[in-house]
Amino acid sequence: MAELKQVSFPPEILARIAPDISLQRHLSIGLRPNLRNFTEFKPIDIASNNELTENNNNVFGSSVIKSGSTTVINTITLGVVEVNSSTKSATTEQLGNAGYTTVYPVIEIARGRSGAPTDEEMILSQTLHETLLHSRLIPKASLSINNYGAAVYDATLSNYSIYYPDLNPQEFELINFNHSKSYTFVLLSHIKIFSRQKSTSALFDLCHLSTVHALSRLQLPRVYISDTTSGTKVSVKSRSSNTRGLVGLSRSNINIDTNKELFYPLVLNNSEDAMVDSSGPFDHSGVSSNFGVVTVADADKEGNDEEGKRSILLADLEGEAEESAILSRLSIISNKSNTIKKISLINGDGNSEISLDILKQALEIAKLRAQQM
Amino acid sequence: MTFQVRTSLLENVDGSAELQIGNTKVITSVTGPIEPKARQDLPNQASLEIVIRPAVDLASTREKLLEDKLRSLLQSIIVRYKYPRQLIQIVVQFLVSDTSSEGEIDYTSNELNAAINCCYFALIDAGVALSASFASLSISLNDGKATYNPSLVDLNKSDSHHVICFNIVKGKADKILLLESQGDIEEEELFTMISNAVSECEVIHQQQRKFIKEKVDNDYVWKQ
Amino acid sequence: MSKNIEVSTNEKTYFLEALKSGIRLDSRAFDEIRQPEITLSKKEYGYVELDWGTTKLAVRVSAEIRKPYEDRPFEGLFMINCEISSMSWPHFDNQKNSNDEVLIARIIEKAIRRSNSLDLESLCIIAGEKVWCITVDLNFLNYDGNFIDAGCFGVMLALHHFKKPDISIVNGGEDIIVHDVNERQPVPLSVLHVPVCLTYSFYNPGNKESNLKGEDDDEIYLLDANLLEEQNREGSIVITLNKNRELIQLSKNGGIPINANVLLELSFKSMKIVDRLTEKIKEVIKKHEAERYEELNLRLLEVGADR
Repeated sequence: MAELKQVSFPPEILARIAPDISLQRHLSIGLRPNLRNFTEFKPIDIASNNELTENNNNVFGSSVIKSGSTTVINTITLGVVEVNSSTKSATTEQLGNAGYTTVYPVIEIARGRSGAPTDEEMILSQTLHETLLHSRLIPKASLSINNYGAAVYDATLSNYSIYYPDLNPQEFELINFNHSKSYTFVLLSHIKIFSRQKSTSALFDLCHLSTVHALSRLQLPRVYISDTTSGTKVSVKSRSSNTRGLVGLSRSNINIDTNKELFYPLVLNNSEDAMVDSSGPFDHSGVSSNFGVVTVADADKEGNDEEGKRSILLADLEGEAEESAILSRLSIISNKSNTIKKISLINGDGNSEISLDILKQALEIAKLRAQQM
Repeated sequence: MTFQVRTSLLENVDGSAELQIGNTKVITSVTGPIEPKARQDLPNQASLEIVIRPAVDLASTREKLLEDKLRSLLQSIIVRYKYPRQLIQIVVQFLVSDTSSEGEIDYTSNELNAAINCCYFALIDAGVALSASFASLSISLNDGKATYNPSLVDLNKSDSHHVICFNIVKGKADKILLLESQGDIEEEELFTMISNAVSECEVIHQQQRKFIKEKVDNDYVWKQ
Repeated sequence: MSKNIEVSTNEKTYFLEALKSGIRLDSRAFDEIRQPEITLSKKEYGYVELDWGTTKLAVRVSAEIRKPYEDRPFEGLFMINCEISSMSWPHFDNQKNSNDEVLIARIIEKAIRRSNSLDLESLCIIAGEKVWCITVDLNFLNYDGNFIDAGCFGVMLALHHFKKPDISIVNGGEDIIVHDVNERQPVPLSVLHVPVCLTYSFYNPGNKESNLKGEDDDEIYLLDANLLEEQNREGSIVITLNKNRELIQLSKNGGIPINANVLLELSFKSMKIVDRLTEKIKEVIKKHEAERYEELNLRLLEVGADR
């Protein structure tokens, strides 16, 4: 008769095939699979150089962040759109929440595949987009383009000179400037994540940190119109009927002035001056922290048969075991003035509940972390 | 803070419900347990296919995020171990919702709230096993004052907006299943809001009970 | 309930035998359509719920301002989004578009968009720069056959119901102000003609082998098939006509061949129904307008003498 032999698995394999068992075993001896303390966050390194922005003409803000082996590279590029000037009249206070705008992120998690964004990437991007919007970080007024200039062809120098109404008022008055449209910048953020080890909620923390950091270092350029002779209208025949109409032909092109000396910083909410180092911007925007709650069955300390159960709060989920076995998750964004900017709580497990006490505990930890950043 | 709900409207699905709350009208259909596709098959649980369609335009990443939140809620409340290797298909179609015009912010809290409450009725209509009842509430806080089921105007003036969902055991709100908060909130404000929400959700649950009792009485009228 | 609903042989035989005896299972005449029940939204313009028998759908029309195409500077933009979810019938997939869905969307688009039923030039605001972009979202809620006819009817109804905000051009033709609907009465769209789609399904229960069309062919034509009838049909044709006796589009994709005479006959017979449905749209909209007039006391805003 065949005998069943006991099979033992090395820890990494056990983590994959039975993540909940692996996690329980670690926790019952007071350890986590990644060997951190229960409420310890993984350290984060924020690169202080600005290489991406300096070496690329189309990148206006950037940030490189590393945590363990996970690297997050964020570049912010700009788009220019026309705005109906009649809607620009109200001030930020009058508009209430509508006076703020957000970034349009595209997150790509490098995993050796190409193709459409995965659900996870889409969800991360959308969460980041909505969080920045509702945290009222970027006022619309900061992105509106005021004082755009005009490029004039100088025959003597045989090149174009750009004049701005605020910087070169005399020259500007001489130009036949016939352009009354209003424009605003749109912030596009491309985030690439390499060597990801972390769970989705932890990735969100990193992306949030990266975006706020990049925004704090964002420098906006001046904008000029290249063809100032707008207003030429040509008679064009309509396609279906026989009527003719006037169509404005010359589309004056909006250009971004790459003259770095004229760049000015983005004014974020509640920051009087531009923050260049990494400690400033998190004052208002807050720092994101993620937690999970899992229940561990303990044998009673006195050795009785009764088993007690205790809920353990784990901070910064990482690794396969934690990712698949912990279903009750919590994501908190808290800032230096102890205001909570965002909470996302899901009690996904009937056994492990995020009670109000645990919520309080997590809020404390998130608060401390925000103050340390 | 009342809602209007109708169930059993659609013929080709197992359960359906249409809910109108405030300015949001949503219809949800539940079909299941049915045969899953190969990639959806889970060995010892039911898999959920959740599709959310917006009121205007085609579905985008915004709906993907709502699907994710709804999924994380339903994954725990539906007794999935009862239907292993099967699929439960849930389609949420928004018919009317607050549309923000150009220059205004898009808030998804009212939609999420309506979707959660509507799913409850649709799941019961379909006869899918739930471990507990659940009720959700959409709240906006303005200077500490809470408005339930806020209108778009309220949301635009609010300091923070929230969606909170409790599970109901023996008529009382037991634990928080889902909490989504955005905006500026102080800790005490948060806990006050949660404790007030408990009683509000219990009121909603009473309405749920009343509706379901009438529905069951009507459905089984032939038994009398 | 399962996804793929196979029609049982019993049902199929019962249905075909009834047809042969001249009876349709829901007691309609062979050339009778189901009566549509219309619910127009009182709160907003452009939202319609339509019950075509047990087929249910919701149509919404919305408008926004955009830049027109470069080669069509005078024309507005018009899009019809027609996606079928598995809510209407589990057989429809949420991810992929099956052939049926693509066909339905294409026919509705041909009938409404390509036939220029909506005057695109009336949507122009500033030529070459700003035009209205009208988007129609067609959401099918319950499938009991015939999404095409119901969908087309629903879209035309919604287009008649919708009103776009009033606009003033300022700054010498450079800028526009969009007036809030509470500030100024919104403006209806300019619909040039009302296309009505009619779907005929054919059955040939007797002669399977015969390919010669003569006096003894006994094909049966049903107008407006419901789900059971659609699943058992052997071919179909969609004829789109408008009140001016114009043929907008014609679609016969495979299926059993029909007698060419029959084509003309069917078009002729359909005219009465097309007239009736077009009248119904106008009637319902007019009644709704009158109610709105009373409710909002618009009489007080009237300027000028009664003629």
